[in-house]
Amino acid sequence: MTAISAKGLSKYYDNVKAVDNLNLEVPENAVFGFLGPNGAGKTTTVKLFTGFAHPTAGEAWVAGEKVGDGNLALKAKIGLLPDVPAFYDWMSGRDSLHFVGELHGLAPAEINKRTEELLELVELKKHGNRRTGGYSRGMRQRLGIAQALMNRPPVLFLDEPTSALDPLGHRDVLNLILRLRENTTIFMSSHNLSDIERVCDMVGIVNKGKLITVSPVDALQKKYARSIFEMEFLEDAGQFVESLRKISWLAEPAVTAVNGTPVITVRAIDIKRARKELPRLIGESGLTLARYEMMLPNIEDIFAEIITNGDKQ
Amino acid sequence: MKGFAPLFRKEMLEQFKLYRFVIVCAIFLFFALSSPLTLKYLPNILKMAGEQNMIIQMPTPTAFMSLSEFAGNIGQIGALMAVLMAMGGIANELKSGTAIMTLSKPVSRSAFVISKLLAVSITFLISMTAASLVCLGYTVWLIQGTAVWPYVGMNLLTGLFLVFCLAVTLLFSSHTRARWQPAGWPSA
Repeated sequence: MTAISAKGLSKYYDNVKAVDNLNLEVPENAVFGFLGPNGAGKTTTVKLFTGFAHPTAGEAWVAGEKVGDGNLALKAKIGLLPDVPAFYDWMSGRDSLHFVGELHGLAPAEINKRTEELLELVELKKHGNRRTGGYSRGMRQRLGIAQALMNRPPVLFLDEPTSALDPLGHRDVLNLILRLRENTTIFMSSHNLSDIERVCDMVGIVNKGKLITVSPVDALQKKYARSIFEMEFLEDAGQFVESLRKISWLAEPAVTAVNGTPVITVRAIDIKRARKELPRLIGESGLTLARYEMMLPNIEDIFAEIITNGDKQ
Repeated sequence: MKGFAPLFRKEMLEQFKLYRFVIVCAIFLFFALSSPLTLKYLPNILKMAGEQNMIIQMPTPTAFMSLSEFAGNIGQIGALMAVLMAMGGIANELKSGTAIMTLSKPVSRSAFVISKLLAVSITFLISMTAASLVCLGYTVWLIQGTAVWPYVGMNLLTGLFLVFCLAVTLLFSSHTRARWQPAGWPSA
């Protein structure tokens, strides 16, 4: 089942194409990372999906509801954490969640139960009676996630959920997202590449309003795999490195010291052959292997390559 | 108007929590007490301030004069206060982001706006009614005589005028994120 879909979705502001012909399908219970540099159109896309912006062209559906201005059935099925979550300063955290429960039309008993559950989930129970005006940015972010979950939404939109957080707050919010993934589809926009790599199953890379690629994170890593192998041995591997120099399908074998440990790197000219033959050569060398790894690029490398050169076909 | 009841409750609570009700009430009560007082003692004040030989012709203060002066003051000061109170009503929420948090829930935009208008109107109308009664009582005690029905009519029209001022200011407030712009202040 598809939780979020868009067909030719576009939003133009005068001559600026904030979102340009977006075609996208996000399956249920996926954590979808929407990645792009600042000004790429991420927040506008979230606004379009949550009914806060009217599309110039195209259509979108979220949780089976057609996205459109004033579709309250859509808002009953989504949760939204804006990039800067804001609360009425005079309300306490607990009051804020009560208020959100009332807006969702929940019964008073259900509101009380859900409020306590959510305060527990976001670790704000101790601070529940404090005014939100005195909350730190991290606490506001966590309360923002709690209010977005009040109605147990099938689809949750998180717009830059870790922006401007200190390292501890950052870690807490990511852990919270990991806990939510079991029964919620999460659409998370971010320009923080390591966040996407850590919590997302799928990633869409957007630049200048255009969606460049959509792929599972691991498939993207394989697609952009570098042809570099790293090895560590318990013994001196000088002779083995020399023997690698004579092999035609390998190039640039080198020894570098990482934290005092010699690490051998070699680039494969024929990657398929290297994957098959290199372990055999290591076995024949008689050396004791401590580590053997084909280097996968991190999402930052892939992002830089895609933004600069476009997607590989 | 889905979501009107919780929004209206929150707006009414906000009138008290942010002391809006107290402020409006206090200012209206000030004019309720000062109007008959000034009228009654103005000749004495002028006499004390002016030269001894100065001749000032002052009409004898009547209840009607006192009450109509109060209604006039409330019309002017009330309009100014209505603009000051309502100018940030929606603009502040748009700027701070609380409007997005609220409107991302299943509530209609009309409920969001009307709950604000109704809550601030109730604040003004209750304060005005209380101040009007105080002014009437004080006038009767200080000056004697009554002019109840013309006074009721004046207050009803003033109340309607204030609600109109609140509605217009909120309308402008919904079209800007600059707090002072609905009051006619140019944006930066």
